[in-house]
This record gives sequence, C-alpha cells and structure tokens, in this order.
Amino acid sequence: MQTACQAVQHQRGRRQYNRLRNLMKDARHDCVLFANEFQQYCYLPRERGEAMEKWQTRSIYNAAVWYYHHCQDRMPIIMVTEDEEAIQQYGSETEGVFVISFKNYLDNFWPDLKAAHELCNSILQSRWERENESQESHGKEYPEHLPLEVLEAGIKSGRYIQGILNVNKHRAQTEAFVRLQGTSTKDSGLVSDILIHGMKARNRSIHGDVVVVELLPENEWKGRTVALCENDSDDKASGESPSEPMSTGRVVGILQKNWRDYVVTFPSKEEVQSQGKNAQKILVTPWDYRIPKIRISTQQAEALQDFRVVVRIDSWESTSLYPNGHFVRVLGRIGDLEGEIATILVENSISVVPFSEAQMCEMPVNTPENPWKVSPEEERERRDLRRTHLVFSIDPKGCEDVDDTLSVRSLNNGNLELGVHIADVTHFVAPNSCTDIEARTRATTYYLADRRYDMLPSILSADLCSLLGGVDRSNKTLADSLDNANDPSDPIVNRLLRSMASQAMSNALYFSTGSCAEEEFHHYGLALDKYTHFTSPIRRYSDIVVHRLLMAAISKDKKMEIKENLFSNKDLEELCRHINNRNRAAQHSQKQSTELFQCMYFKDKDPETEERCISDGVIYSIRTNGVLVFIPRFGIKGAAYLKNKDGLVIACGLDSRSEWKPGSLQRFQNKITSTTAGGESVTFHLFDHVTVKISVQASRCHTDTVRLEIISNKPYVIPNTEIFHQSSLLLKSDLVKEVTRSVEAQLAQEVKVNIIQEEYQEYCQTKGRSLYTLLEEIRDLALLDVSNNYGM
Amino acid sequence: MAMEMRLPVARKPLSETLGRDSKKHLVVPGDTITTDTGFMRGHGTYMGEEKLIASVAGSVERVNKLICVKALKTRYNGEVGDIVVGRITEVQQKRWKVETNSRLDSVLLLSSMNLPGGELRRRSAEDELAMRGFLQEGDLISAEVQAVFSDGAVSLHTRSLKYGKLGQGVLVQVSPSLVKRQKTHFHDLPCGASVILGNNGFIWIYPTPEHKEEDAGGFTANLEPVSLADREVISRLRNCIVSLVTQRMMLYDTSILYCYEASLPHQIKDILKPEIMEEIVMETRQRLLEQEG
Amino acid sequence: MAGLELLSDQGYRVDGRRAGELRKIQARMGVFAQADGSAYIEQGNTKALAVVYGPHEIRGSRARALPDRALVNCQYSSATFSTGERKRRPHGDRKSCEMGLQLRQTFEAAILTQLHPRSQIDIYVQVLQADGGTYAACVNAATLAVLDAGIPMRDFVCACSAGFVDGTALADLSHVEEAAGGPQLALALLPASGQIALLEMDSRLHEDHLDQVLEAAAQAARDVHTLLDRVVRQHVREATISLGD
Repeated sequence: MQTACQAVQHQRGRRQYNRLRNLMKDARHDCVLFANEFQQYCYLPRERGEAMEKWQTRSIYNAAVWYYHHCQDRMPIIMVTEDEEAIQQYGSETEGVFVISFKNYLDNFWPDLKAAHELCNSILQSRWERENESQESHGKEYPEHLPLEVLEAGIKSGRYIQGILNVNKHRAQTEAFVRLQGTSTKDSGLVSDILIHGMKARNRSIHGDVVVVELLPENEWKGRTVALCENDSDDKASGESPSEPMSTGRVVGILQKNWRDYVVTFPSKEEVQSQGKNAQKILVTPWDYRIPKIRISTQQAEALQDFRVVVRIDSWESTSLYPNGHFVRVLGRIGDLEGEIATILVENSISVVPFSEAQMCEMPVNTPENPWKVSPEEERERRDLRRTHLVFSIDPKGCEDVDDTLSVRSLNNGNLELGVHIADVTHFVAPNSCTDIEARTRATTYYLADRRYDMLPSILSADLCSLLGGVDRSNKTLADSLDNANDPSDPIVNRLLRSMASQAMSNALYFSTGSCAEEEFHHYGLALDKYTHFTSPIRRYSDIVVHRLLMAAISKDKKMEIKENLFSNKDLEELCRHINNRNRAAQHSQKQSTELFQCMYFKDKDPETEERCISDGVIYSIRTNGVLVFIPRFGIKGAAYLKNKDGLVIACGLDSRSEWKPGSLQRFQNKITSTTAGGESVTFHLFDHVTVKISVQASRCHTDTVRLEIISNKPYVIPNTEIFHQSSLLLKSDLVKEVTRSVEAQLAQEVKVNIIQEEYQEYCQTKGRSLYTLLEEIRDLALLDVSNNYGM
Repeated sequence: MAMEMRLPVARKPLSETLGRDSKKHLVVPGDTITTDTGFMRGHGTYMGEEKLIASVAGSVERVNKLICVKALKTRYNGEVGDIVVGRITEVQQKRWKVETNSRLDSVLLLSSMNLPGGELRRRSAEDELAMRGFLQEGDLISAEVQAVFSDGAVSLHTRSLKYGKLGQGVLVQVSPSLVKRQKTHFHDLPCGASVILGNNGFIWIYPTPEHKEEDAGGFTANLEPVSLADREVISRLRNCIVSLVTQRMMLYDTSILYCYEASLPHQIKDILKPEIMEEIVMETRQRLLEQEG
Repeated sequence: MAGLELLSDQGYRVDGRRAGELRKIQARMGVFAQADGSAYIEQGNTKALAVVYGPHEIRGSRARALPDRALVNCQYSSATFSTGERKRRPHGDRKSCEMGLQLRQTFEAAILTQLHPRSQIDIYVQVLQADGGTYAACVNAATLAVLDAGIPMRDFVCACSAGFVDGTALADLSHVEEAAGGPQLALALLPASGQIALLEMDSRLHEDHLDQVLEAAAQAARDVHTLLDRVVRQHVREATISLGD
C-alpha cells in the first residue's frame, strides 16, 4: 500500500524507504504498489486531531477491506502489522480480512517454511533483546556519531572527509584506511589515504561503510607497518618499527552502512565458557578477518558448535563493544567441502538459486522429440556459413559452453580471412525478460575450482547457444584479414615476468562511454586506445549488452525499428558498477576456491613423509622478513619467512638444509641476507630456485592457509623429468580431482568434439605448444595471485 | 440598526425550476452554423474557410437568407425611432456627448434640441455659448434616435415635448436585451409612479406629475419635494425591476405591474432577498402565462 | 521539498493525477450584474476572476483611438492573499504588466476588433488563489467573460500549462510542480482551427522534447475547451429559457 510506504519513509527515513522501493521494483519478487490514497473508494480523509499513525493504519485497513470486496470475497486478505492496538481493533471486524502479526502469519499460513520461521524467531529475539538492553546501559564505549546535518556541513566546508573504510586484513584490530571519495581529494589536498588507528577511532564502522572522518592533529599521526605477519587477534604490533607517519584520523559518523550477510563460526566449548554470564548471547567470529566479532543470541549454540552459519548485523550501539546481530541460517559443517564452498559464495555475495519456473518457461525447447531448428525467417535474414566455412572451436577439451569459434580461409587475393563467430545469445534472451534480469544480476558465470555456476540456464549455455560441433547454431560473425603470425617459446621465468608485469598494471574496469571523456577510454594492459569485447555472451553479461548495442547500431543503418530496450547512460553506469563488482567477486571466489582445494589436498599429507609436499620454487619478491615463492608444479604462490615468531633466522648448513638460529636479516633491493650470531650467512637472490616444504595451517574460524617453508637453498630436482614439462594446468586438475574424489563427488564430463581431419591440410592447424597454450597459462597464473594474502 | 447575515447556499439552475427546454439553435463562438454559401451573414457571424462561423454565444436567427446570431447580452445597438435615456458626458462645440450604454457614445446635436419657448430658428453663436445652461455634464435626458452613423454611433434628438431633461427620480441600469420593444415606452403605472423604459436599458422611474408641463419642453427641473408615499412606490418599483432582471425576465409595463402587485405583501427591502425575489417573479410569470394563454 | 517525486514509477503525480490529466475545472459566467461580462473559474486550487467592460467609448485621451479597430486593454492583478505568504503587489509592478501584455496579445488575436472601430474593450483579471497555471486560468476566465459580454470572437481561447519530468510531459502544472524548477511552458490555443494565440516559456528545454510538451499542452487546452464549451452552452440555454421563447 502506498500509505505503508509513506509510513516507512516517515518513521524510518529515506534510506529504508529507498530500500523498500528497490525491493518492490525487483520483478522477481512479484510485488505491486497500490496507490490507495489516489483511489476513490480507498481514500479516507484524516480526521481532526487524529494521529498520523492511527490514520495510516485506518487507511490501510480500509483499503484492505475494499480490495477484499473488490475480489468478490473470494480470497482472504491479510494485513500484517506489529501494532497490537490495530490487531485488537480491526482483527475481527470484517470476515475474510485478517489483521495479524508477522509471526502469526507465518505460523498459520506457511507452517512449512522452516528457514523463514527460524529467521523470524531470531529477528524477534534480537529485537526483544535490544529493547531490554537499552534499559541497562553500561556506559559508553564509543563516542556518539554526529547528526547528519553536521556531517554534511562539515564535508562541504572541508572540515570532514568522506570515504570508504578499508580494514587491513592482517591487522584488522589496529589498522584501517579510508580511501578518499570524489571531490574531497581536491579540496583537502591529501595525497594518500587516511589511517584509522585502533578500534576506538574506527567508532563502530565496518569494512565497506561510507564514513566521515576528521583528521587528528599532526602530532598524533601514526604510521603503518610493512612487515609480513600472521593475523593476530591482539593489538600490539609484531615488534617491527612502523614506517613514517601518515595522515591519521578518526571516524565521526557513518553516511551509509554497507552491511551484507556474514559467515561466522561459533566459538569452541572452552571459549564459550570463558565468555561467561549470559549463556544466551554468544560472540561469533566472522570468516572474514576484517569484520569484528558479532554478538548474537541463540539457543542453538551447543548444537551448532562445529558448524558455519550466516548472520546479519542489526546495530552497533555506542554502549557495546561488539555489534549485535541475528542468526539467519546454517551453511554446513566446518571442513565440509559443500559448506566451505557455500561460505565462499556467501562471502562474495554470490547467489546461485536454481533458475525459476518463470525463466524456464521462457526457454526454447530442444529435446530429441522436438529438436530446435533455425526458423525460416531467420534463415532468410542471416548468412549461411554451414557450407562455405570450416568453423572450429579452440576451447579446451570437454568444454560445454563454447561461446566463440574461429574460421580461417585463404582468399583469392592471397590474404587470409579470419572469422570470429560468437554465439547469438541475444536471439534467445529477450531484454528485460526473467532470464535477462537474472543474468544481469549474476553478471557472469562463476568458475570455481571444481564447478561452475552458469549465468544462463544450461539449455542455452550448454546447448542452444553453445557452438557445438555437428549441430546448426546461430551466431554473430566478425571477419578479418590478417598476415601470418609466429609463436615464440619461453621458459618458466619468462612466464613469471609476464604475469607480474600484467599484475602491475591497473585493473581494467567496465565503464559507460556516456560518462567518460574520450581520452580516458584506453585500456592500459593491452595498450589500446579503445577496447571492448563481446566474444563470450554465454558467460559475460557485458557481452550481451554489447551485442544488443551492435544490433541497434546495425538496425539504425538499415533503418529498421530500434526496440526501446537499450539502457540510458545513468542505468548503464549503474550496470557497469554492478558488473565490475560481480567480476571482482567472481575472481575472488575463484581464487578462494582454488586455495580451498589446495589446502584440502595438502591437509592430510604429512610433510615429513609425503614426497609431493616437497617441491622446487622460484623466489619472485623480497620482503623485510621473508620472500615470496612461486611453485610452478602446483601453481602455488606463497610467503616463506626467513625470520620466525621467536626471532630466529634461517641458516643453511653444509648440506644445504635449513635450521633456525638466532641472528638478523639484511634486506637489499634484489636479495636478502640472513646472518646468524655464529657468523654463518646465506643469501637469497631474486629469481633463485629453492626447495620448499608445503604444509597447511588449519584455522577453526577462518580459511585454512598454505604454508611454505624453505628447507634448502638449492633447487629441487625431481627424478621424474616428464612432470616438469607438463603445464601446471594439468597438474592442478589432478589436484582438484583427487580432492573431489576423496569427498566422493563425481565430476567427469566429456563432450565429443568432431575433429575434421580431412580439411586439416587446407586449414593448417598447429599441433603442440603454440602462442595459444602460452596465453592460456598466463591467464591461469593471473588468476592465482596470492600475494595479497600475506599483507605485502 | 438591524443586520442580516446569510450563509452561502447552492443555487438551483433556472431551467430546473422552469421545467422546460429551449427549442432554439444555440451556438458558441467557433461553432459552424452552416456550410451553405447561399446565406447572407448578419451580426454575430463571420466567414471562415467556406463556412459560416458564429462569433458570439447566443441563439441563431434566420430571416430568409439572412443568418445572424443574437447574443445574450450586448451593448445597446441603436435603431431609428428608439427611445433612450442617457447621461451627458461632454459638452462639445455645437453638440453634447451622451452616454447610452452603447459601444460608442451617442451625439445630441444642438440643432436637434428644442429651444426654450419652442422657437424654431437657427442656432446662433450665443446659443452655443449657452449650451451649458441647457444641459450640463451629468444631466439625464430622454431622447429619440434620429440616425445611426456608419460606425454604429447614434445621433439623438429631443424634438418633442415628452423628451428633455429628467428631474427627480430613480435610474435603473439593465441590459438592453431585457427591454421589450413596444409601441410606447412612457408608462404611467396605476400604482402611482411613471416609468420610462429606455431601449438602451436605462429605466427611469419618477413620480407622476400632476399636470403636464406645457412650456419649456421639460428643461426646468421640478425640484419640489416628493411625498413619502410616492417615494415608497418608486422604491418598490425599482426593487421589482431589479428582481425581474436578476431572474432574467423581459421588462415591459405589464410585467413590472404584476411584479409590483405580487410584491405588495412584502416589505420593500425584503424584495431583494433571493427567496422572496424568486417567489415574486414566479408569481409574475404565472400571471403572465395565464394572461397569454 | 527535497526528494519529492513529481512522477512516480506507476505514473502518478504528487496529487494523484496521471501525466496528461487536468485538474477539476469549474466555471461560471455572469457573476457580476453591473459589468458587461464577467466570469469566475477554478482550476484545481487556482481561482481567477475576470471582468469585461466594453466595447465603449475611449476614456482618457482620444488620440489613442484606433480608426479601424477596437483597443483591447488588459489588466492583471494578483490578490495579496493569493499565495502562501501574504504579499502586497502594487498595480504597476513588472509581473502584472507582463501578464497584462500577454493577455492583451492573446485576446487581440481572438477578438474581432474590426467590428468596433474607435472603441475600447477593458478586460480586468484578478487571481484570488494561485496554485500554478495562473496565466492559463486568467485566459480561460477572460474568454468566458468576453463571451458573456457578447463581444464577437473568432473562437474560444483555451490555455493550459505543461512541463516535462523524467521523459514524460505533464499537463496542467500545480504550484508544487512549477516550483520544482523543471521546464514549463504556457500555451493559449484557438481550438477549432488549432492556431496558437500565445506560447510562452522562460525555462530551458531540449528541442527534442519540444514537440512532446507542446502536444501535451495542446491536448490539455482542447480538453479545457470541451469543459468551457459545456459551461457556456449551459449558461446560454438557461438564459434563453428564462427570457422566454
């Protein structure tokens, strides 16, 4: 009801109102806004002296009764409210119109939705607690936030600075940074980010919030620490001297809270007892290091000891050390593969519900009884390449979603014609259909180590849009002439260099051309002035958008009618933001799932006895207390400490095996030297090969991590030299296969691709290593970047 | 002092109370009257794009080949022979300008005026200078239309003893369309007052003179005090005329008389109250209908 | 008011109207007996009163008389209580003069002035309550008053305002919508021939949108014409009945 929305705006403010409106606008929720105040029969004038809330309740009830009669009394109308008085007053006035509380509604009408019931209970409980808690105040732990007008005035005058809070993963308790947003950079003259030191200064803001910061006086400025470290839960620094002071501030207000669902773990039994008095309330630890512990109340703490669950934060009062939240649902047991993957998905806000009925209805049919055929109108309008071109795919064996294929032909004038054929997804996915909206929300196909979550239903992605061999499919084609190219071959270090170079470049992001000046269109990594891609519409929503733009541009030329389904600039900007965000999430989740499998593979292998836990590694980065090592065999990148927690440094004896002894480290630009008290020293240079031992550091509440330890400063030579030449790609899949097999999951998928042998001579396919395999490897390396894991 | 206050009341449309409908062809500006080019166009119409279009809101009148639209309410359009009552606005050389509720002020030429004593001679320069002695600005006169100029302005004359300057009395200004054309416009009502119904909508009510003035052609004003009874009659007549006008009835001697008689039971000041006005006019209508039928 | 939605997603405006919907119009002719023509109009909450005197002899300087047609003289005034804040408006101030001039231009186009040379027609308009669309209400009221006075006109003059929000043209703007600062224009139309008597806009509008807004205003003016037509016919019918056949 319109009145209900107005009431929300009135009582809770604009932000909640906007959230409500956005939820309603989402077509998947089947929600309709009825303008009852503009309807002749529903409108009730406000009586003299009547309170706003009473009038609103009366209006809504009246509209509900009208609607009931409008539907000819055929189905019950339910008005859900928490207002006790209203329930009393109107509850039994009209038969067929129910006025009940939400819990009542769930109990009576949807008794089977267990998850909804749990969530409802937990919310009610947390609310009840908040009301009771507010009566007993323990004194303020944090300063109050300033009111909104003061904050806005302060930002305008330059006294305060607005930005997004970024908590340092490795020093989550002590260090957080505020990245400057918008015009504040120019006004304040600040060059770097602002450091927020300590929890008190952070004043209840959480990673990702838009905060308002006040700079501290210069004599209170602190510096950040640059050493490698573990994720300690204590406040003190690891003993290294901090770098020079940088601008430091404190948070005085939060403009926008960007809270999401968080995966948490319950404390172990011993910890529960130490938390003491109130057994109902538990402090749970979030999986993400950057989020503080959350206090929730639940009866099920005992039962959920070894499970990971999802919680949401409700509020963080200034009287409380920790935020309050409520329990949403259970994910799975700690260590269980499905549970851990679900954790990764929730933490990256990836939602992978199966495609709805409405979407499946929009899908074309392609069954053996009723096979899909190209329709005659389409045949007339499109060029038929089935006879004239050899079209082939270069995707890996076993690939189901073939978005792009190539064709090469020698032309009569001696040139080569290169054709690029892309799956015609937009033919099947109408703009703003359910499928389109769902695809837009997902924005990309998520590839995890052992599975993928498709952006489009499989009948499209794996079948009708996929340019499979041997079947007729529609596609879009781009033909190009080119001269012959050659392919060099490279050793491992060259590959490493390339991948590091590509990482040093700034990340390419999607943007809308309507919002950016033309000079800023260039793509840094590819050194191109203007760049776009459209070759994977099955797995990238941005490519679907480009396809539609292309079709609109072509239609304009041909003077056909342009369908009004293109985005406006503002919407496109919003969409780009969303796609960039989802791409980041996809990359993170892919990386995290790879690490998950790596940890699971190495977890149950004893490093002392298993041969596979020892491997050759290449040093690719020098830090103050350690080095970063790349293990080509498994494609793992990790940190190896040269100075351990006790302050001992590494020393290599005559047999090249390492030991820990007292001493010191000296870092140079391209090398690091470890000198013991006894005078022995060993130097590690950049790009040295060393032998490392791989083990896993387990964690209860957080993700397990791979630990590397240098055991010898000589390269490790494996007796079996064949393995060395295998690309890391194959070994990685072995790793994954073993893991999943041990968890008893099957993943074999084989699709037979017809290789057209007879035309091989004419079309000159290359066998063996080529530029293509090299590019593939670099792509994998880029995905495996783990340097961020160790605070470097 | 007595005060009376009223609250607003919704009024009923007249047609409801009368219970009948008009059979005339009513038009508003912009309406096409006919596309037949055989007609001549009269007042209230104009020719546009082969069509005859109305330019005022009113009823269409067809006289043979002439089509005109008679507006509901217009300023006075002079016709030769009409009796008018007017007010002097200006004294110019050899003529007076008279305001007669028409589009342009009417003219009263010095030569159209009767000289005192009824002489018939050419007007001399002294007469010119003495013009102000006859009629000044603000004086009311009754006159007859002698001629109509091309731009619609009217020329008056007072070449009769019944015309001339008006003395004591009450003037009521109404719309010219409400005054019915009759043979004579000077009425001596039996109730004790006389009335001049000017075609231009100015109505003059005055006490009936005991004896007719023979000389001077009515230039000297009779300034003797008028008795209370006469004044009451005159007031009552005035209110009756106003109520008839409000209810949009045609004014002529019979209607005014009937209305006067119907109003006798009420006090003079009560006549102007809406409900009493309605009542009186209703009664008048009844009597008129009876009389006709 | 910050964040006021002039056009909701479902197509409702602030007062519940659709984009092309007019406000309720009520009008009456002949409200003053002593004037030649008078009319009162209410367009939503905007109330305007118009009074016409004429054609009559030119008062004041004879020199102003035009030998071939009538002189149209318009005066606009706004009551002190017409807006939210009581504001004293002297008669000669700029806005009044400008409005008067616009009204004069409008009616010179519509009245058949050739029929009354050397005379003068006075139109006085007063706004009693201003809630957006004051020019339009004035023009509509003046049209009715001129008709009431029996002055021959080429056609009705119907006026309406229009604006543009979120890609949609809105007709008949209220004060809230005008104050929001978007583009707005006022259009006076002679409905039968579709000719424009006056088009006035002093905000910025992209030329691509002009057609759309103009069309919305024209359609609204035609709707106003339907209403005014009905009022006039009713009035004429009543008058004819009471005068007797």
